Amino acid sequence: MFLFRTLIVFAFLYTLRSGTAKLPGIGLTPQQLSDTVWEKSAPEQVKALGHFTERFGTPAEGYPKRIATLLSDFRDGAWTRKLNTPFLGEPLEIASAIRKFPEIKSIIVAPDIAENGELYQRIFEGIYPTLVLEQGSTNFRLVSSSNVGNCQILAKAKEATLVQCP
Amino acid sequence: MYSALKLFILLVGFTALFYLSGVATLRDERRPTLSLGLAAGLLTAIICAMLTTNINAALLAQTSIAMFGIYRLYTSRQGNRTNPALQPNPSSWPQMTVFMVLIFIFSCILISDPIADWDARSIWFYHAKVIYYTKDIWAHGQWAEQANIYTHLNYPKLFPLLAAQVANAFGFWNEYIPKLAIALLACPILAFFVESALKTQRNHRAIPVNFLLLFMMLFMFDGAGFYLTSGYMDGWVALYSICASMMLTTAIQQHNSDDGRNSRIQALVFLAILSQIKQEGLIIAVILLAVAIAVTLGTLAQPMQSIKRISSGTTPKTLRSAAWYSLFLLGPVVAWLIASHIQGLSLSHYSGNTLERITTKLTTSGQPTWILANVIFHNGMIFPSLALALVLTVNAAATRKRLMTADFLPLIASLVFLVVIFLVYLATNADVNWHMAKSAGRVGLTPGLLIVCYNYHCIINILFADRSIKPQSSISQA
Repeated sequence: MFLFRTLIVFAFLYTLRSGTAKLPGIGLTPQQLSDTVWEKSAPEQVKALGHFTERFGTPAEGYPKRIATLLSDFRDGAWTRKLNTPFLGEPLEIASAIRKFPEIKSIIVAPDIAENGELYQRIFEGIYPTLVLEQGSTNFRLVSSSNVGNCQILAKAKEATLVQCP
Repeated sequence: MYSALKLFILLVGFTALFYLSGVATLRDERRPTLSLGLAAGLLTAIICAMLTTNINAALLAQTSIAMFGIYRLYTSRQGNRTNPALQPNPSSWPQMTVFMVLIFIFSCILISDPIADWDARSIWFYHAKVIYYTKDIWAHGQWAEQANIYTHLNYPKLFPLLAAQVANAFGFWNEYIPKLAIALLACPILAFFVESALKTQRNHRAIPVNFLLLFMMLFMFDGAGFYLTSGYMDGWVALYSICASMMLTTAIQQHNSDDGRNSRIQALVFLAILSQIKQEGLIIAVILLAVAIAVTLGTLAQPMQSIKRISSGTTPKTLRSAAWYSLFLLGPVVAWLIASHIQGLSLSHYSGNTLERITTKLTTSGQPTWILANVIFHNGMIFPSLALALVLTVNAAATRKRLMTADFLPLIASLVFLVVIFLVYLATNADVNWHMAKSAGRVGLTPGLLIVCYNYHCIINILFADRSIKPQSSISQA
């Protein structure tokens, strides 16, 4: 009875950590085990449709990394800075550059930046309440560093360059 | 040191505000437990924001309600002295201390990373930013103009409101501070964990094991480090679901006791919060409630007579109470559904000819199997937990262990939710492979953890079986 109770407690813990905890003696996690069984047993026509991409679990681990970051933050004072500084501009550097110009209410994003969907979304959300326009009457633009033209550079960031055009 | 103190004061201030306003809004003569008070406080926050429209006015209104909460606490204390039947709920200083320590540590961890990942950045904190800058939960009726439709504007606004309130309290927006809203959302769960893990009614020897199993289930499941701290809501939907299901189970099993009554109210408040976190939350809340009603009717010897007895015993006071709770629990969700419909925010992956898409996918060779495989295997917890659930159920039947019908509630709800997820992937108008790759793992968190919750009930039963039961509701009856 004691053995059964111990086994079910361990089985319970394994079901919770199925993506990361390896089964003793087998060397695979329960998730990898079910993947192996799937690979062997699934019909070819189903396997042709795809595989379990972006499996849940392993890549989503975070506590160790976060606790390590927290400890180093405490040591070098970054934790205090994070708690007390407005508009740090992380992870979008251009956001903090734009916020230094409160007169900018809206901005036009150049097509070469807008083409990069992921970057466009990050800018769109990151610089709010500054509104992002595709065209309009504002002189302020976000362009890539090679497309500044005859505009005056106001700020440079890794994602884009902020310019004022005549 | 000053920053840590500032953070601590903010946390104490918000938790006290939520608890006291929760106490004021609950129509209970007894002092509510910490988890119930905090959860009711979260609901009060969103109701105040919806009614006053301005987040500063909402904070002021909630503070006024909290003042009334102080008065209610004082009168309930007096009532306890004169009426011994009104014993306070078992929220003690050790529980409170463990709760505050946990919430403080959790908050420190939250600030270690900026808001970065897609759902957090593009949905929850972006909506929060709009609320913070417009100072209005309705964004002056212009959500569609303030934001882009791709950010799922129709999602409920409880969490964005909390994040906006935190930024408002600090007086500025940056990419770290609003993350403290995750700690505020976590408050009722942490309080529930502390109350459940340290319950003194149970055998004292059981406390360390119960503490460990509950802690692992709530905070250490695969991916918890990411899904509970990054600003994604899927982890919180899962946690509120399992807490609500545990309360519903207690409410059904002990329906005549004070504990059962308290659990019933607590479950309803948690389900209301669930519906305010995310769309999936609303679906699982409806499923849990439907399964709970079905299980309750199933456990009654003569359901129709019981219903008649309840309706004949209804007094104006109970009617008033029922009307108040209906308004309190359903008001915010109905208000938001109407508002998002009026503002035209309801675009989703399921518009267009849904039935035709379902039929096409069902008749495409291999497609239903592939979708089913994703529903069951994509989140690694579901399949092993189902296998363990089978072993535990067979063991309970074989050894005539006392497993009650209500214990099956999370398992049944989980299976129903898996069917719903299957239908959703059949109905999607996005590329199904892309849709499943992006969401099947995290959507599977809720059913996965509900099965884990069923396994937890079974294991606690096996390890510490000391409960008395009704014979007609036991599976060992046969």
